[in-house]
Amino acid sequence: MTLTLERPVAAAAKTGTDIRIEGLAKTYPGADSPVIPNLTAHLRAGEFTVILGPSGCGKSTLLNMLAGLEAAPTGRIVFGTREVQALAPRDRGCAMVFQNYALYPHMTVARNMDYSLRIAKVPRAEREARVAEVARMLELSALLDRRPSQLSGGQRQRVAIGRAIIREPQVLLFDEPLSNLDARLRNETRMELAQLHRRIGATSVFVTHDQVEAMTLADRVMILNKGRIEQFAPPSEIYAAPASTFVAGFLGSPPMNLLAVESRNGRIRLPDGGTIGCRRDGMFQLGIRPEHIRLGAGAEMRVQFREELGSHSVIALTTPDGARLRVTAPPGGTGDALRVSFPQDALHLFDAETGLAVRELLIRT
Amino acid sequence: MTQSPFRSRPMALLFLSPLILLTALFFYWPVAEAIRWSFFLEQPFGGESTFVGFANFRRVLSDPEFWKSLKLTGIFMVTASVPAVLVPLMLAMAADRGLRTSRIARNVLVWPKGVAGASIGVIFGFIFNPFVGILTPLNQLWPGIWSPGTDGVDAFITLIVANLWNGIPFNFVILLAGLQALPDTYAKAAALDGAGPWRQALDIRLPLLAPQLFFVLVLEFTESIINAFGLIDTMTRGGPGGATTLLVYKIYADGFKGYDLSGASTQTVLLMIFVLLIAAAQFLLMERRVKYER
Repeated sequence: MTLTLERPVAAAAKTGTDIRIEGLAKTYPGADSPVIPNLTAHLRAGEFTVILGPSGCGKSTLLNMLAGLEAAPTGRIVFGTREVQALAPRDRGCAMVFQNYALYPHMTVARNMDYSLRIAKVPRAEREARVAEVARMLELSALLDRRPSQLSGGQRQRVAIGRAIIREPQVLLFDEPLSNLDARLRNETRMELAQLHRRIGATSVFVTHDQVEAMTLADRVMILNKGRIEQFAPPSEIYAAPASTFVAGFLGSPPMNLLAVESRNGRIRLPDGGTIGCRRDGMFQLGIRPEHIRLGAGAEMRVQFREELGSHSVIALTTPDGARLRVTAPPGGTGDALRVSFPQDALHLFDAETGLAVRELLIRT
Repeated sequence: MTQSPFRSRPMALLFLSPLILLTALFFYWPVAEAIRWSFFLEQPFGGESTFVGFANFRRVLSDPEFWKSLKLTGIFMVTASVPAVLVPLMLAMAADRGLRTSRIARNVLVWPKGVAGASIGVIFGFIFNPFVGILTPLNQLWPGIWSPGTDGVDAFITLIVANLWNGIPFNFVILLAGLQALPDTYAKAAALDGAGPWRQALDIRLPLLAPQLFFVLVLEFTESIINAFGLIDTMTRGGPGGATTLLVYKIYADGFKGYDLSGASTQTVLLMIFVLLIAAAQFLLMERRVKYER
């Protein structure tokens, strides 16, 4: 799929609108705790937001509430200047791409895509023009008369995307749309989605549990944990400065190492034998990414196991305290022990009780 | 299916044998007998029978009474089956929407399944009685307007209503099951495409329900031909003036009241052919249209 167009859709498309979520809360009937306790966020116009979190964190519920598929009993959802939380889905101007595509099995590809236009009573000539244009953009022109059952997974996915963008929606919602594709197709489609988003300019909200999708697609990533926003920031910031141990442990492959440490008399003893200054005494979690650990100097640690990934290997070490430490290393290494040291500027610090980042307490020299 | 779950064929046959035996004894054997009798002249009280070739068929097919009852059977088939599918369809769609009372309705609507056709006939005979039934006030306003005992159309209507009531539970269950098997993402996608409840029902749910609709329609067509017997026998006894003598009732009357066993057997064979043709026509005309793959 190459996105070459004489007349880019973006020229015809309405630009996206910003989305304000204020004090949104939801408890399912019969549940002990709310799936979303109290959520406030502002998604900028035209921004691509990825909602990332483990299963059950409330990300799909949030998406469905934006779409109007689930009631939002408490709080407000504002698209631009319109308050939409009480509106029916069809009055909100959203389009959605579903995980299982949800293509109508009894309709052809063309009918699937123009169904919303028929309902909106768009004149036939315009409907046909728009179907042709979207089909060309998504390379579906040869498939317009087929039924969904005659398409491959990737083709169905593109029809689902075509159906969503044909109405030029102000808000485009994605509910784990790539999770049913195989790995190779997922990579391709991911890049195409990013290009597509730049073209059509709709405010996009993309739900996933795949961190690679989040890092590659998002302008900003909203990390949800038990219905609460752990961090809402650009991918680079989430990687460089995770706001909590949850974020630190969730992102990265392998994720950040978290080691229990104690600060005494203004100093923390590091597992590599060195120390670092700390402005407060007490218990902390020390964080360091496997790829930031320096090899060849410092304390010697025993190798527990190696995972060879071709481009690099991941080695699990045992610290002197008995904790596990993962480091990434060039491929093909051998030996029972490794010398490692922690560069000071790669260290993160989290409060042991709240799990929140307290990076500013570190005194780097 | 490429592999049998049974190690040996005799084992499979052994497990199947009770069902095969029952079907053969109570279905295929009577059918074979009926076909045989239609070529013989049978004595009403047993005794020897004479082979007469197609004489029975010639006699029946030249009888205007036969054609009249076949026509009534056709009319009943269409006028009774269509509401007996449409009403359960509407009820099932309402119940599927999860309206406030749909849980209770789902149960209540299945109960008539437990009532035998003859009992339904007795009850509806009472309900539609022109003197004590629910339509009695009509007769007080316009004397004689409701009279199933003397008016053939009124009698026919009572049969249709009783048949509808009889058909609701089964068709309702099948259609509701079909609706509930549809993934709810279709409804979600349609809602986002801008379709309201009515558009969703017409454009999405109804077409996707086509296989189940086809199934109940085929069954209802054949059932209405055969099952009307219990209703007719208890409510109208074929009257007034033969207005409700459908073929299935005529066969009974000819065979067991008129002791014309050969004629009844011949008409049975003709009725079977009629039902076969109807079912075959439905499959030929409709089956290809209702198939879709998920």
